[in-house]
Amino acid sequence: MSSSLIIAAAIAYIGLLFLIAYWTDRRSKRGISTVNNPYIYALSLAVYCTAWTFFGSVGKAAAAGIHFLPIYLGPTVSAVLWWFVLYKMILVSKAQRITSIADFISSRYGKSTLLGVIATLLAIASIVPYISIQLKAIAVSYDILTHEGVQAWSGEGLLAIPFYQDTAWYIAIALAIFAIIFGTRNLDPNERHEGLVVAVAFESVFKLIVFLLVGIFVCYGLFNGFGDLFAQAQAVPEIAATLFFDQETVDGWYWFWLMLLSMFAILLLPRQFHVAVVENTNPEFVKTATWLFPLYLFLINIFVLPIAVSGSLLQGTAANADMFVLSLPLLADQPFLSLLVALGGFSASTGMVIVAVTALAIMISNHLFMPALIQYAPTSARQTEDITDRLLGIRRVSIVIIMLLTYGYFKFVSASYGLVSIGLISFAGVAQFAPALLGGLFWKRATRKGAVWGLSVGAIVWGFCLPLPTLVEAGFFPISIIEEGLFGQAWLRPYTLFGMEGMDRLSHGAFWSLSLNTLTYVLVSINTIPSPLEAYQANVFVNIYDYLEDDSSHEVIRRTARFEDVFHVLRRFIGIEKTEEIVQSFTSRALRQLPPGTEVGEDFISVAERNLAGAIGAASAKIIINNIVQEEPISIEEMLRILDQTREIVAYSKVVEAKSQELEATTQQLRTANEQLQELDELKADFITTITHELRTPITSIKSLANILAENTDLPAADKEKYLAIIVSESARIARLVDQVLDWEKLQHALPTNNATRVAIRPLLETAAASIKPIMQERQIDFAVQLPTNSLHGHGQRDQLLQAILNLLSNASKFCASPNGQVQLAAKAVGREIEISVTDNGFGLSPHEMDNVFEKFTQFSDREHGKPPGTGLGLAITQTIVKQHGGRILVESSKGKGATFLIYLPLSQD
Amino acid sequence: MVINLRTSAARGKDAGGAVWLLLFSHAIPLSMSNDRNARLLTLAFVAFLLFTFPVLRIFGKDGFVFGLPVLYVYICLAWLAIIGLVWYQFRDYPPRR
Repeated sequence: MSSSLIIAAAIAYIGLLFLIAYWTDRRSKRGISTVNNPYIYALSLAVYCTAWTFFGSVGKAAAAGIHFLPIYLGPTVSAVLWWFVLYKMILVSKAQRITSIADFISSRYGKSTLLGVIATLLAIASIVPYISIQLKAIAVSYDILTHEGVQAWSGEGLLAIPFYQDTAWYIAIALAIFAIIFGTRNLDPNERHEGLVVAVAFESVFKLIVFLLVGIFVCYGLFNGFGDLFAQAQAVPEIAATLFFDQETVDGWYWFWLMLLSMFAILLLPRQFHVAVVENTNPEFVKTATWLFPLYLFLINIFVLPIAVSGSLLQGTAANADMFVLSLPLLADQPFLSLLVALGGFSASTGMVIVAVTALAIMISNHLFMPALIQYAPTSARQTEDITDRLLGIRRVSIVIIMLLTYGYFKFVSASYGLVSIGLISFAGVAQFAPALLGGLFWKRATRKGAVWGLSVGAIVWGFCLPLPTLVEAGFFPISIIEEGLFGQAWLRPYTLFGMEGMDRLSHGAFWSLSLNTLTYVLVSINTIPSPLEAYQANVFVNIYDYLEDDSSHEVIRRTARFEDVFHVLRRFIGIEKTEEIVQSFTSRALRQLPPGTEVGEDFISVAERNLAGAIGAASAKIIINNIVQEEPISIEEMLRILDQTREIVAYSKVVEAKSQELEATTQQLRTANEQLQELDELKADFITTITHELRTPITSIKSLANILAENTDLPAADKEKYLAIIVSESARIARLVDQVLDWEKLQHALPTNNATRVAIRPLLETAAASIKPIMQERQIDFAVQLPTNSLHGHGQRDQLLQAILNLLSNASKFCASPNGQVQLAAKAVGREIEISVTDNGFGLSPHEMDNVFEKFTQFSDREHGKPPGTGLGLAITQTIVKQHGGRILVESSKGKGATFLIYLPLSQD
Repeated sequence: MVINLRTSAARGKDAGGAVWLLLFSHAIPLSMSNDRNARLLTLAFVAFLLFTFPVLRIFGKDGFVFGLPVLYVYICLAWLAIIGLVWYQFRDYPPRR
């Protein structure tokens, strides 16, 4: 195949990617977000599948059977946990404007500059080998296509070729240019690259389709389906051995470590972190990605084993198995399919390289260049020069440096290794982030020093056990390091560190680096005390769900700054347009209206710092902001106290609120009771006045009459008799009054059912009417009685009922009109009750009086009619009696039109 | 998620729900999402077990079903089962309009 055709196809493909990215950015400028879609998000995660997957899996499968699989099974297992881990990481990153995995770790541990540097260096060391194998995959597939041959392509001859004749050199340049164009077109304060994400999602679809096409072609074009393929494989013992999983063919611990490393790698590889966390537009998308991404992995792996087996069958087990995907269609004389495969592999590589290099460039510029720039060229807030262009320049230079490193590593090292073994070194490298990152997300006590030491120890052990030997074998270091150990110390040999033997190199390196890393991280953390800022950040990361609803209540750091200072800093680092957007979203006032020297508080400063962090990383943003703010110092004890207390206080204040409501209710009840008591007290005082008055009147007359009788012994007999009669009647009155008071007291304590009998109503009322008749006649009252003709019976104490009715009649006689008074007593059955009514034609009751008429000691008086006669106990006694008989008493009246008292008593059943 | 449910109920958006929560929260799971979390954790553990080497060795012996290696068939089925079960937990998302 001619090289011009291949290059033309590659350029056309890249052109298509640019179109997609351009179209996406156009749409997003019009406010339509293409990436705001869970499926695009899940597909963009498939940037995980690189040339390693596309070419390398088949190579691994041909050599070692299903050993290629843990790399995809691990992410499938950890994806089940994304709902807990990734979702939380996204929430934290949105809240903190995290730009990369180094930024995440640096922010978590008090926005530490040092941690940012360590994490960035580790990321570069891990990822450069990984990118170099993409370079290798593209270069090899290009050479195979152009030479139309499948002869073994080895690294030995490569060193002899000058770089300007090397395909990989030009590929490296091309990839650097793509990365610059895709990843550093503009400086977004949120590090969002919508065009890049959509292009990556498209590449994911493309490489999957191509791989499935090759698989179908191999199974059904070269063989008669799966059955035929595996039947033929079974006949060759060498190939058949790769289909099984037993003690001899598969090393169990190697399998275990591959699973574990890839479980971590799926979120910790800088490019995975970038697409999964930084580019995420909606945390809810995790719900789709958590099953769709494993499904993608399943589909892209389903044909790996068949292709590997058929390659071994057709080309022999000694062939370059990494290139079976390409060489099989080429040998079968399928130039179009071969070209598609090359483009598929190209797409898998470019997608990975562009995202990985962009993510690394962000880290390098934010965590290596920026702190140095701020440190060594102190920028006063007064400087107005715009720095955004310089930031983009730094990123572009970073990209070029990374690609140069990559090319160097490719040329001297990875040419002589398989794709997968180099890739796994990278996996073990990024797995070193796991303790600091996962611990930081769930363990509040973890400190910056713990993270620094853990990460450093992990990185050094990893570097010594895994990448260093590859450099030794490439001739950069003396071979004695491997054979005799570092400095001739036998216990410092990279393949048998501390004398641990019998493990493969990857498991050995992963075991030591990860366990020492975790151990150091934990031990140092529990023996150091975090700074206030660390403690605060730890709380934000671990308890992010508490901060989602309202973050202002959690602000514990109080800072102030001059508005112009903040404004100038923002303008320098994120440009005037974005700055004005931020300021305007914050204050409705126009910028020019703010008077010079305006002070801004914590709320505005934290918004500014977050936006700055989005552009240059949290650590650098912290340094810059700290230069221009006044901060109230806060001690660690105070900080911890506040953080621990915020939630306790919320819980406590809720309890207090409930308690105080309860108290208020009790107070209200007490107040009401008190009012009633006071009222009662007044009533009692009135009552005593009334009683004493009532008692004094007859006593006075008795006393004066008795005096007359005593002093005038010669009084006529008629007068004597008259006086004595008055004395007798007055005494009777006193006795009556005293009886009534005693009655009342007795009633209060009496048991209602005492001596209860059946009571005939008609005779009862007749007795009552007969008793009251003389008084009515005496007062010339027209007294009418209407009694029921049938016999009705109630139940209770006859004497009490009689008293109740007599009280009503006596009241009526007192309150009816005078002269021409009218009183009526009536009774009838109403339903299952007896209604007894006493009606008078007196001056009636007002609504207020009706409400209180049955209260004891109540007497109504007005100016017109004066104080009424009586004790104020009659109606209260009546009501008590009626209630004790299971009945009720009502009054119907209106002022000036008389009153009717109604007693309802239950009818007695025979 | 449970907290959200409680607060939204407490804010009176769902007064009936609040009463329900107060009366019965001790007897039955607070919310569906709480249940889902437990299922997902269990599933992750089972998935890890299914792909550990001692379990794979059970299926990794010399053998074929339907002309395919038993190991290949086992891995495919286990893989699809995990994906299906995770999908089932989130089947309501994204919500259809």
